[in-house]
Amino acid sequence: MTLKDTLRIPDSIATRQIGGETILLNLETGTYFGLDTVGSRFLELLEHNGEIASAHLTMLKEFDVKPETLEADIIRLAEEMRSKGLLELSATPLR
Amino acid sequence: MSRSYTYRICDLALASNIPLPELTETTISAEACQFELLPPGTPSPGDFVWFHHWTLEEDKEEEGGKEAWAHFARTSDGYLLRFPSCGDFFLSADTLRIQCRALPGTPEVTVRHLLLDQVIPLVLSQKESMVLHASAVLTTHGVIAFAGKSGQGKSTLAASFARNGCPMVSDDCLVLRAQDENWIAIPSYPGVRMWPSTAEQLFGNGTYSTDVAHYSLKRRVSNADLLPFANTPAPIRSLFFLADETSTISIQRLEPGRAFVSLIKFSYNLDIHDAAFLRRQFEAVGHLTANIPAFAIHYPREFASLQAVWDTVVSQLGEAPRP
Repeated sequence: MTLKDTLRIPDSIATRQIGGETILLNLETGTYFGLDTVGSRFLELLEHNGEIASAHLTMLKEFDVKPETLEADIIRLAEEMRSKGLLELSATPLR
Repeated sequence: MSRSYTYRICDLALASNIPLPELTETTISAEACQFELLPPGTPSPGDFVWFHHWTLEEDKEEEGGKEAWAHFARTSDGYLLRFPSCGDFFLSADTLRIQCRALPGTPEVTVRHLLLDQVIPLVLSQKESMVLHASAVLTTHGVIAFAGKSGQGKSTLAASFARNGCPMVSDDCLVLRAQDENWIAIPSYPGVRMWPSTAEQLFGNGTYSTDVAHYSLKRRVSNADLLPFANTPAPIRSLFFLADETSTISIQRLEPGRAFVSLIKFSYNLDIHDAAFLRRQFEAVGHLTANIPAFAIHYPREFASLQAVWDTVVSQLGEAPRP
């Protein structure tokens, strides 16, 4: 996965922001997941248009972090979420 | 069914072909859920597929693995709940019909306990906004609920509050119903289940009690003079999750994310693979988390501390903003 990829939340995933965190529920398995505030912000930004690059740019302005470090972190998070079925690659924006 | 008795439990009309003396009789309702204890020798139903198992929380892995306390299966027209040493309960898909095929030697008192305290909460989880594994009492500030794992002291704590004049709302199964921004607690049925020594400590020697089930030493105390019962729904004020035992009493507000997870953990759920149900529960828990404060409560598990726990909780209720 790279910054050029676009992601979407599958229809089988329910999300809810609670106190700065995000709870995700896989409706097919009944499994719950949690994202911390940084992960929640990444998901929130992805919901605009699904572009990882766009989320990366915005987060660079919001967090004191080197571009390559942030890129590595969000790509790792995106891949982990994809492996758990919480995100999927898409040519169209996030729902 | 030859003869039918009709009762009310958690606002659910329940018609039964056996008496359920734990419940209060009510007038017959067309919407009643029907329970039938099947005659001995009733043949087994058709095919079913297991999809979930309940284990006893207190079992230790190193003692040979967790024992399955109940098994859940889907049948052609609903669900099968199997309690291995007692019998099977069959639920129609709409949960309006419950049938029990008890194993030989299983007495009616055990059938009634499994029906009222295990099966009905699961049925209610399909109909109500939220059904929590919690005991609750009605205080002057509103209803407060104590949620926690089996054996952590929910019933003891609730009964001790009842002894201080707070009517019992539920023992172990608390129905919560969303009403605009509020959440209303629906009283379940009178009585509390506890160990004989606990009943003795709270209510005195010789307190009248009845069997809970043939496999348990627990007793059911339902004397209204000892244990007042709240008969009408009331708004819930706070949720308390019973945390690990400590030598001192403390109460901490739970962060919303932790409160959410705790509520999910202690919710009844008939079908953990029913996506529509899971989505509804997800939304309900989110709404509940946003509107009702949740706390972790630590306290020593000793009778001498119960009055101090009462004092601490009541003091906290007086300070906490109303939802």
